[in-house]
Amino acid sequence: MLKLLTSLKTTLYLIGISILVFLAGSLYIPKNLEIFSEINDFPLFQWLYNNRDYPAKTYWIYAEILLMAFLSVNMVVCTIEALLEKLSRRTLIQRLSPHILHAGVLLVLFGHLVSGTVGFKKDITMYMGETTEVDDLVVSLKQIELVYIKGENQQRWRASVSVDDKGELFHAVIEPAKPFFVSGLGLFAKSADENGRLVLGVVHDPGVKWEIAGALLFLVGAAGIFLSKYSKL
Amino acid sequence: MTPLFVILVFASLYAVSIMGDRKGTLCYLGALLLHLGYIIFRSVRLEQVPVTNTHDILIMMSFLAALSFLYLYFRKKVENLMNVLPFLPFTLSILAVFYERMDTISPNMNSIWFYLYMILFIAGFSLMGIGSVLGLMYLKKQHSEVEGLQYRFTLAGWLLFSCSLIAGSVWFYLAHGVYWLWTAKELWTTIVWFYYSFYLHARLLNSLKGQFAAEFGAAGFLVMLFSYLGVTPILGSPWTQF
Repeated sequence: MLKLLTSLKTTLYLIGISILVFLAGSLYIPKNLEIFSEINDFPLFQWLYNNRDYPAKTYWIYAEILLMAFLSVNMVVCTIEALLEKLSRRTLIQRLSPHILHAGVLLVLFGHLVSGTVGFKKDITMYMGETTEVDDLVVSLKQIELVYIKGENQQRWRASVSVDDKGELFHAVIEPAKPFFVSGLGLFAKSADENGRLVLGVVHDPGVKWEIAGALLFLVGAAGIFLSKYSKL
Repeated sequence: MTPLFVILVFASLYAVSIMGDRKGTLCYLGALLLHLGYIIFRSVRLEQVPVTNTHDILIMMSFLAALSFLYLYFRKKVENLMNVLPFLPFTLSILAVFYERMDTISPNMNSIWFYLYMILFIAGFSLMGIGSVLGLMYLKKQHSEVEGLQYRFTLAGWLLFSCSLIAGSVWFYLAHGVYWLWTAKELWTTIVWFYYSFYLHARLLNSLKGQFAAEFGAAGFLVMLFSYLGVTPILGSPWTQF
């Protein structure tokens, strides 16, 4: 059993089957938009529960989750086995870097699991001067400014908001690709118009910090591989 | 001179340079200079790095591929390189002709993370593309040095491609509040990542190193090209300008 788990052939089979399953998914999604149109609006497991009556069209997601779980076990076992071997100082970076990179992939997969299990996403429409409660926060929309920036194909919106987090007051300006984060919640200005209307996206995704940790580990591993394999160009 | 004409001229020069002799090398260098001129023209016009739409991205990929070949030609002195080498910049430049030049971006794209994502993506794509061409060369000549170069280029390309996915996820999260979407396009991006992961792992096995790995790696360029250009029109994924 251990031999099977540490085998590189097992890795290849798992990656190969994963490719085929992703391929199936890429064909199912565009052809079944009546089911898949809301998949990005909910955490994955909640969406799967909501669509539990369509196993013939969603089976590939279950298969992919299983495959990723097997691949994770395969990565963990291979990494442990490799780390148990003697490491010399001379080849330390060369030997360790791929394992750091794999640890990064594992954390990214774990982040996906967390994102798919807990958290929420919702859109709230607000008007200038309005105050609304979002979870434990009180959000007030003070002002919306529409500006034109050269090179952009539409007006950019700047929404000035104040956020009361249990007595602590924050002021922020939210713009496209410039959200505001407070108490684990992300506030995104999704759209705004000249009538003072703002669509505020509210996101709570605890998987993101795992994703960031995984990405950082991956980058460290990648840098190590570059250093050890390409130092003599 | 219209931009289209300039592209056709340097693409033709890349094609002509396949003859491989001294004249071929001069044609190649001429193409490279004209290519650089076109990129500078686009940068001036956009007032930023031209990486925000498919046309400019293909032009940049093509240029990076052409530059990397120069490194292989002068530094590694790979035999018969000039007979195969211009194939990639030629193909990518011609493909660029079919895509509209766009001079504006949406406000969401105006982020350092987006530019980082695109630059890393272009670099990764180009290096993996060169890896594929080197794979084809190995299949023809069976020189183990070429197969080693294929592996090194593909590994470097895959690492940069992975870094681009990280930067892209950060950008998408800041822009839309999600770092991953279940769409055909994202699934194909994942397929490309797994495909090259398969190649890199397969090459570690002695039984698959050589012929199989070279074939598999060489075919990766088609998977990558389909993922980037084919998924939206053929499978019907949401359109993006990049």
